[in-house]
Amino acid sequence: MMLDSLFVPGSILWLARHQIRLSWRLGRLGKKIPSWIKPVFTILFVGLLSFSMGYGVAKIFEAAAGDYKQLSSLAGAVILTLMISGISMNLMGSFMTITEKGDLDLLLSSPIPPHRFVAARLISSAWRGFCIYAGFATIFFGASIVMISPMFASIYVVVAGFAILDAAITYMIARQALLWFGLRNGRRATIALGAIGVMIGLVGYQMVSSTGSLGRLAADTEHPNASLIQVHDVIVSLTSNFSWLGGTILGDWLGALAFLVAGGVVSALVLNFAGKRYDQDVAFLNGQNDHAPHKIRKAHPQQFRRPALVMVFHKEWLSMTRDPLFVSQLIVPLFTMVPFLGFVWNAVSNPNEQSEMAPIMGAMFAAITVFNVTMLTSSLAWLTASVEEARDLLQASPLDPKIILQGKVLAASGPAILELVLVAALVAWAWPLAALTLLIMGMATCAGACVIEFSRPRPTKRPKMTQRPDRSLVTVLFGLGLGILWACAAGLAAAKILWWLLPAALAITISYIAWATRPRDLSSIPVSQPLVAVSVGSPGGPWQRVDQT
Amino acid sequence: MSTHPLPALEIKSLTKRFGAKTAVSDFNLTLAPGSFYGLLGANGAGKTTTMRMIAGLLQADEGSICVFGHDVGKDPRAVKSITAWLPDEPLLYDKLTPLEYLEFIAGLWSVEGSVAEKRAEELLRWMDLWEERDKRCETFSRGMKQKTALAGALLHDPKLLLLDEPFSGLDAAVARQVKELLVEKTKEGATIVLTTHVMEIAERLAERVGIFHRGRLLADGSLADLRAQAGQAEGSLEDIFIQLVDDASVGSPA
Repeated sequence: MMLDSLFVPGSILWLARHQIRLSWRLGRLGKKIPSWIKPVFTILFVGLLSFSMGYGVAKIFEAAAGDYKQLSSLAGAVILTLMISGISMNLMGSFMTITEKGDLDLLLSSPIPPHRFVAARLISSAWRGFCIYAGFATIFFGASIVMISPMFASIYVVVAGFAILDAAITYMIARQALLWFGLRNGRRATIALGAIGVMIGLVGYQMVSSTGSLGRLAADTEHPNASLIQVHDVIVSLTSNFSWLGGTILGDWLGALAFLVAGGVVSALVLNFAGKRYDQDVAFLNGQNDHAPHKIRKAHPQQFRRPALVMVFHKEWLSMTRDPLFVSQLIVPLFTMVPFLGFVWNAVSNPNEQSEMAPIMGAMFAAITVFNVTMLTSSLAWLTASVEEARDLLQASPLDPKIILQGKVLAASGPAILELVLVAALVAWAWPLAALTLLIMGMATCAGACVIEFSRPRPTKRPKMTQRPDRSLVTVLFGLGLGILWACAAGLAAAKILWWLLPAALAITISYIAWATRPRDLSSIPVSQPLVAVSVGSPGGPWQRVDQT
Repeated sequence: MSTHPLPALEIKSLTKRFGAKTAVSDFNLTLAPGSFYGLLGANGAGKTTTMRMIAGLLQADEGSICVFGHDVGKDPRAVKSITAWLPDEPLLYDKLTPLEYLEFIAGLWSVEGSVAEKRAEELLRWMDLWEERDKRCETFSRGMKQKTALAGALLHDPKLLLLDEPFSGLDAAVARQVKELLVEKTKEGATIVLTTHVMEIAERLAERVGIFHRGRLLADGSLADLRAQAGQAEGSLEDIFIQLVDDASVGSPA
């Protein structure tokens, strides 16, 4: 009864609930997962993450108990980088929310005042942000349990305040981008801005979180390194400015509440400003043309004469590269390697100052590169295997399915192989063993990722792919496991530790299991066979999935 | 030299089941080259399933399908190389332009480069899409997408065209153009099997019509034949269809 009175039809909360329900359904991973798996998996995953990382935080805190200032500085800087990443990621989501025309006509044709839709969208966006940030905050929840102290509880107030603030700020930025640049260029602008923000956040996080190791490197008594000492000092002096921010998650309840108040005030201002103009904004949006500028190209007869394999590769390549959001999502994680390139540059420019930790840095770099390559290949392989818009067309053509498969695998693994070759060439001088290792293991993980993704295609439509990761949970987990194992193998091999054979063997086993347990329908025609089971059994709709027939 | 040319399409005892449900049951059909066959039926009657089996997208549980003498089950590639399949939902790539789409189709069907290039231009011009050839398909209206898909289906000059609701989304002028094109194709020897819910289209275009109901072929023949089967001296195809389906529904389980 109480809840019913809150969600009165037509009210802001009722609309927000509708919005949240829609986005929740869009973001669901897979469909045919038994109902008990998700909660059990979530509890186990969150519990493990919370405890393991929380334990580390608790230990750090205990060790630095006497130096609250240093700890709060570090925590503040870490939180700041996470906030920058969070706002940047949400920026893309906010633009999509604002420009999604799907139900606008329906909503605005109703007698509900338009500002309520803005409020509902802000609440929905804030809720989404809260769920993500609260996930990160479980680390501190774990630390609270380990330390048997409610000290970190204030982080949840910060998370709530920041989620509200984030929703309001990104809404305004996305709105202005739409009004200033129009639909097409506005989308590009927010994607670019978001990608830059995420990149800054990622690199900043790495720099801040590696302050300790930087200090050890810099203070290496045998080979003191002037450049690293400089970098270390700059980071330390920068982080000292954010102790107030760190304090909010370390029990400074007043600071945490200030976050909540700031979020509420900014949201109210945004709602007051944008709510009054919402119908004008929608009218502007409806008048926008999303068409690309019309450029007439000259006919290229040779393009009709390319071999079929090249045609398939070309089609996949165009489809991928013409989706800026997807491309940005692929490229941004690669920036995790940027700080390492600083060390490479340092090693190359100061060969006499090589630290004893250089081989360890090389090993870490090899591991991170291999992990990134796995994720990149997995994403592209999923895209080429599952997001096939004209599966029937391929199936109806007389072309050998093997050629189609080869073209798709080439498109999926090509960018990763290119990245591997470039990165290996870049670091070969500084870390030759690491370069060789990442090249070999990177190729292996590319093959493994393709095997996993092509063994379980999940037909989905391109327009929904960035909003709805309709991937098989098995492939997601297998892909993650593959990346971690090959990364471990690469790291150990680059450090000349023979134990690399163990994770490598496990990674190969994972790929083999994925292929051996693939659905039987895929055995004869790897690419197009699913179609056989896809459309039938559902005379009304040609695009039902295999598991729905 | 045989005096009896190979039938364009020969279907014998075709049956397809999905679990307990029989989608197509004991379907027989023979079409001569140059035929225009209309397949009618309510939603879920089994038309699309039949078309997909002919196109080699779906295996039959029983029976056989031969296209110009090639068995779909035994030699699917030979069948596919002379067949075009156009489903009701256009098979397009949103991120490609119409010209790139046709280049891709040419690759799939191994159409010789110079021929494909010439034909692609002709088809795009004919469909009024030449000026739009460098716009991505994602920006197209439903009708433009349908026209692009139709151009793709015609690019390799198929001998058998399987068209599932090809007129949905087309404006009146383009629909007329397409109708004329299809008739022209049959005169050139191509065989067309078309499904539609619009009875007037089937009545006007098809020389022979089959009525499907719950996986079974209720009636088959020219309009005159169907009238005779329905016991109607006059009446439109719509009247005949409704009467035959109603008659079949009475006494048969739902």
